[in-house]
Amino acid sequence: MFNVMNFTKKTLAVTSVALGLLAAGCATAPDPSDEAAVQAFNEANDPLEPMNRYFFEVNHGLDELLVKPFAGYYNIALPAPAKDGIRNFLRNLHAPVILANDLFQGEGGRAGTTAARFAINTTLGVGGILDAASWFGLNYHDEDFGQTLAVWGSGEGIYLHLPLMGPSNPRDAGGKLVDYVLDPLTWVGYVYNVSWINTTRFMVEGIDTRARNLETIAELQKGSVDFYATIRSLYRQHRNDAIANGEDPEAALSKLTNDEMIPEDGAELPAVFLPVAPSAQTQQPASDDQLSEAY
Amino acid sequence: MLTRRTFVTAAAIAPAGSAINPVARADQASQGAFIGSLSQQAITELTSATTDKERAAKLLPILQKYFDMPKLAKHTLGLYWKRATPEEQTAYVAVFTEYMSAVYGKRFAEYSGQSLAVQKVRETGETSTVFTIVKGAQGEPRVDWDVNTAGGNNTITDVRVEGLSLAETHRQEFASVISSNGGKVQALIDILKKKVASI
Repeated sequence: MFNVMNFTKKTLAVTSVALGLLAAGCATAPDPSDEAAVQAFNEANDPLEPMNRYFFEVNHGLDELLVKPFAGYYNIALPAPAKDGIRNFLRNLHAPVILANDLFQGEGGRAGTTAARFAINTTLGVGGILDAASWFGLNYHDEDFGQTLAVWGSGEGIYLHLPLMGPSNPRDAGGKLVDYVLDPLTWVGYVYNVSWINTTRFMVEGIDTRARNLETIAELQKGSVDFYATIRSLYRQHRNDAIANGEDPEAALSKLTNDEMIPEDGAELPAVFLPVAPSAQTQQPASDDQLSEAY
Repeated sequence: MLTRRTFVTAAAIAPAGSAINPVARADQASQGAFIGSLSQQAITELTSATTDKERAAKLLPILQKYFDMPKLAKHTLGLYWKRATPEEQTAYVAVFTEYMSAVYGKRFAEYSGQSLAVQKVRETGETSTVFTIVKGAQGEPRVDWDVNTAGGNNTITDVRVEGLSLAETHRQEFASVISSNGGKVQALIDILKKKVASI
């Protein structure tokens, strides 16, 4: 119970800080006559940007101070097979949540894979340390309730950069809570009063993930001219890819964002809507049928 | 956390389309081979370079040969492209190409023998997408290449690593930079110049 109280107190404190920032933290909408700025503003869908950027900086500071050094030691101290063992073990602990979400999404085949992986890795894989299932072609996949909500038709909502958790949105943050409740280990922690298990898991996962990405993130940051905006964009694309289970997003969708958004010079309408627009063909490949109609 | 396997792997491209599907049609094979020859040339020339400056200098002509840099540059400006003056547009295409060479050239320093394997090629009108995976990299990440085949010339217009699009990421990043600098494209050009100089 103490933990719950403590957690509630912390939550209250964080919430009050957040609300204070919120008051000062709303982004100002651009001049409505400025088409490009309005589009950039709407697309970013980040009305709390000043507050988000604040937490981004806080997280970045914590990362520099704590997470990154630990991740560095972790990399030096542990050989690759040991790190893989840790990750396999952590992934195996997630299997019940992944399985539940596979089922929620009606993905019978993937649910079967997750269940078989859990059975094989827990036994043959010595409690999950070895990814034995992958030897049989049963490869790991991730799934969470944020993705389930998306599959059920929920939009992502505004962008959020949360303390400790990093990039998110209301859908994914809500999904995390549901996953937490769905997770048998959460209940083991409460019932047997061993919630340190979950805290430890959270921390080790953070360190392991960070350690695997030390160079990637450093490179990304060095090359970026607005790291916050880069992360915001990458987070959304990464989630969309995860929701589509890594399957090829149909060309139609990417074309909408790529080309229709940028009208040909001098054309107010996207080129595809013009009756005959030879110059548009390179931009917007038309099917044979469409072409013969046009001519 | 995101960015588990991101653009580092995009740069970790390697020798010729080793696993082109034998049943693929001839033109599809040619686009697969096109990506293969890009990675071959990039690996050969960039792994022999020793400094980041040298890598950037070697990547620049490769980008200009294989990528449609003006189109990619235009895409990354979004609606701001129309607002830029012709001089700004020219300056932007040039600095964007240098920026790409500097940022992505650097990453070849980490190259350690990975190779690209072409999985399939999808054709939609004059755009093809070549789906590849990076063999020898952790998790064998997916890398998809959009190739514009108009006029018999192959040019790359976007690269997606595990669904993360190079063109889209830079477009959203740059839009943020421009809008926080009073909507001025010149501000982005100056910032990119500084970035290139610092790498």
